[in-house]
Amino acid sequence: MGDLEHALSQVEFIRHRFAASTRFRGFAPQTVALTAILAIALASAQTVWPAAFGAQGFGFVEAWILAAVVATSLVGVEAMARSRRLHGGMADLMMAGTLRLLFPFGAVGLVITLVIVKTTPETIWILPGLWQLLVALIGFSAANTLPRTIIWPSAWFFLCGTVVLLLAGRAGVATPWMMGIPFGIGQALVAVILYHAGKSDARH
Amino acid sequence: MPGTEAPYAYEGLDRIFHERARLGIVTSLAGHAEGLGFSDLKTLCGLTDGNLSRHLQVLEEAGFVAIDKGYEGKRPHTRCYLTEDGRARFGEYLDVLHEVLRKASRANVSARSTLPGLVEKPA
Repeated sequence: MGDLEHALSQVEFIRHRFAASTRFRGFAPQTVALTAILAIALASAQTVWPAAFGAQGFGFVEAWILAAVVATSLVGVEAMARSRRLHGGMADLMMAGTLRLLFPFGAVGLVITLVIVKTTPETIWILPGLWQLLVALIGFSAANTLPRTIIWPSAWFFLCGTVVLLLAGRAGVATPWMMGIPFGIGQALVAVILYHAGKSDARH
Repeated sequence: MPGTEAPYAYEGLDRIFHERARLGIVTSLAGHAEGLGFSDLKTLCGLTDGNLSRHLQVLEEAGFVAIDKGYEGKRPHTRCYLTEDGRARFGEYLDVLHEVLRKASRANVSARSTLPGLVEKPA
């Protein structure tokens, strides 16, 4: 390896370390707040029009998966644009690091959901609590790459996941507000934290 | 050439970072979001107390590094970390440095293929 290639690989190494220890600023508080509204809107719609919006069973899972896809797409598209703007040439590295963090949890959530829906649909009640626990794990794992205070909404999701598992287990059924309240409040908390972190960045 | 961009201007190569000791300091801090103690930084960069203090002062005056002086137990402890501005500017610096090296590496490869005898011979 020549001197230039050696220098180039050293700069690559520094860039990767730098990206790993830099806070990801791609998530926009407004978009995250929108996902909180989406959760509350869907839970409300399922309560008022249970047949049309799938308040139980497969319909319940389908509706919330669709909401998750919409929310993830909104946050993801915005994150790519913001990341390019705020992280410049490091944007790809930052996005790749964030995806590496999120992907395993997303894959686990998807596999658990598919297996339960296909093999034991009578235990669909377990899904909301499990989803919330998974989101809590994402938050705790992201404490180094997002504002440190992200552990508070993560703790909220953890608490909700536990309570929802207990309540749904006793009733043997998941209700719309077992998703609406945890995600509505949790995502709103994340949005507030991102907003304050953004203001703090602007002051520096 | 008025009206055209200067592709070799490399304005992002900030002189404050572009010094061996300071580059070492900033690179060490860049990998530690929570910052590093003065003595750790001294060991990592192989600098004397005086040299490290002098370079840290330059970086602090530029607003790229912040220095917290406090206590760890009863012993005084100095913690240095990159500021948000320092992180942003160092990110830009790395981008430009990466680009310079990539271009130089490409030029070197192309020179090797066209003039192998000239490039491969040791100085």
